Amino acid sequence: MNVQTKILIIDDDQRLGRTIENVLKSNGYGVCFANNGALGIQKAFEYNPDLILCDINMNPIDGYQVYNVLKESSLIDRTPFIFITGNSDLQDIRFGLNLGVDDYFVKPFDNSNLIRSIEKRLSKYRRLKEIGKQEFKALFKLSPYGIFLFDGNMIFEANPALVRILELDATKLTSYSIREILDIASFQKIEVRIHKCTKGLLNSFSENVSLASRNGQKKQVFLSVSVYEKYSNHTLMMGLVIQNPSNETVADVYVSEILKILKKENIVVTDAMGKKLTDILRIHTVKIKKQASIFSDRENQVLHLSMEGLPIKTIADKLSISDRTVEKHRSSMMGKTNSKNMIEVIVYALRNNLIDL
Amino acid sequence: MESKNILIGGGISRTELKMVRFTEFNEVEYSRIISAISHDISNPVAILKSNIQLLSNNFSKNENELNREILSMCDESAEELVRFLDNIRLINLSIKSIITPKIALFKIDDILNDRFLDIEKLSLNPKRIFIRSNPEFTEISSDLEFIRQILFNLLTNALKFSRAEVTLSISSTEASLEIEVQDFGVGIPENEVDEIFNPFFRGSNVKKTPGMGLGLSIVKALTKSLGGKIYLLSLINQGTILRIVLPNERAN
Repeated sequence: MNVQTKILIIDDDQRLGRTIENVLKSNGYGVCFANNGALGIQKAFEYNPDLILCDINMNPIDGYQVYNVLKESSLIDRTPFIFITGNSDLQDIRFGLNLGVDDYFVKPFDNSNLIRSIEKRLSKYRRLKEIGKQEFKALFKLSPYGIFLFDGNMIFEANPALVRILELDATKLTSYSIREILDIASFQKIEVRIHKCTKGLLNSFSENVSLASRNGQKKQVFLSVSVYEKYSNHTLMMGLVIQNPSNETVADVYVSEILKILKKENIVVTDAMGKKLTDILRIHTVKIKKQASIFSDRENQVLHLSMEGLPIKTIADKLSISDRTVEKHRSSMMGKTNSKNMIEVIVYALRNNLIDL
Repeated sequence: MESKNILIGGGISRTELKMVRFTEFNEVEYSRIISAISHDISNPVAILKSNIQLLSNNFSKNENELNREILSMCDESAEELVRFLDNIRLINLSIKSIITPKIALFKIDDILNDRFLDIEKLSLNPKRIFIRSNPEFTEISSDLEFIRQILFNLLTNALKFSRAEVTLSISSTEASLEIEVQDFGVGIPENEVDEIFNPFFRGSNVKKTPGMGLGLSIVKALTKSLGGKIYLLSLINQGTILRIVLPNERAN
């Protein structure tokens, strides 16, 4: 059966926090409540929630800082993050969405709306996770380079390419530990960093290492390790093994090679997978398809000036058009984005990368 | 007596209606205060509203009537606070010029549909409202929700400050939509006519009637955003005619 969905509430108003906790609990969610920002960050790591609800206005660490700290950690950077705010100001929303926050909830709210919005975020998150997993499986099998998953020690899974590189019996590979596939000196060189990854102190690292000798010869490989997924009591890491690294364009070759394979297999590279790839390679960004802008040039100008909070009159003056024309452009943008007001247009544009800040 | 006739005899020429100039007020300061208030009361209001909902979910099918009544009074009061919050936030947004109407074509008859008659909630006896809707053009391009909100505020004001009947007339031409609300109530002192549209301003003759002074400032904010104009004629203790003229966006 389904594991209970866990939600972390971070709010320095004890009564509001408890209230939301009760609302969520009565709807069957598991809840953890932290009554300040610092505790919230700590709980996020301990509790490993599926979604975080966070107040903005807190002292001394506010919601934005909580978000920034958590985003830095690859362990929870994909967890949906919803801000709860008492302020419906444009400034706040702009700032939050610029940070990459998933949603906003303006107090007061309807209990059922809160639940609906949470469910929407969760289902999107689950879907992305599922797509990521499928993509990973495809990549895993097809990659010309060795990939393996391990928990800092034991290897859980390895792809056919790694089996080839290690010249091992495929059926036995998963009974090995990382220590056993590397030569002793190489393992010692990276041991501390692996440990750091398991503790969430490091996201990824790369090193030239030697494989444990078989048939008397030591193979030199380039090893890249990245945290893959964090569970409540262990961390799953992904290792990438590239044979005969020529120092210049390993990553280039790798990226183009993978893209070729993906194209051949008709696999679309989405955000999550692109990010995973760049995390490992940290050199090249996989081009992620961006939605073409739906606004005209003039509409874009109006949008940017509106985002500066300028009144209609000033916008009209700046663009040498009439107030009514400014209104028309705004209405047209609202029509295109199905929004009720300019804030929603801005929110839409930010979400869909239609504008830079 | 002549001016009284203008007010009471509905059909007489309304040439004395004057366009309302909107006086300047310290918008930055208002905005700052509204932000502070809305921030500080949003938590308690959120807590009240959520917990009332939780409590009502916990009620059993045969919960006693008294408890139900108590909770429903709490709920209505909390809703009133929510509306207040929504209103001051709307005013704040309008001060910052970030409300923009969503223009669409709609039937003028739709303005007064059943949903609009939510006005019954206000226990102000809407049966006193007489509607004269006789639009020449049956469709208009504007923002239906904004217009409903303008009307709602005008009617609640009219009902609140008069005991007699209230007339609502809606008419249209190809170029514009006109909404007029007439009451036979307390009226607005002449020297306060411009200021009455500022947020939190209350006429000196209605201090004893409860209210926040937000209704007309919302009417003004929404009318402005629709590119409309406000005309007014008011006489103390005789009544008020308030006319909103909104452009038909399609005609432009």
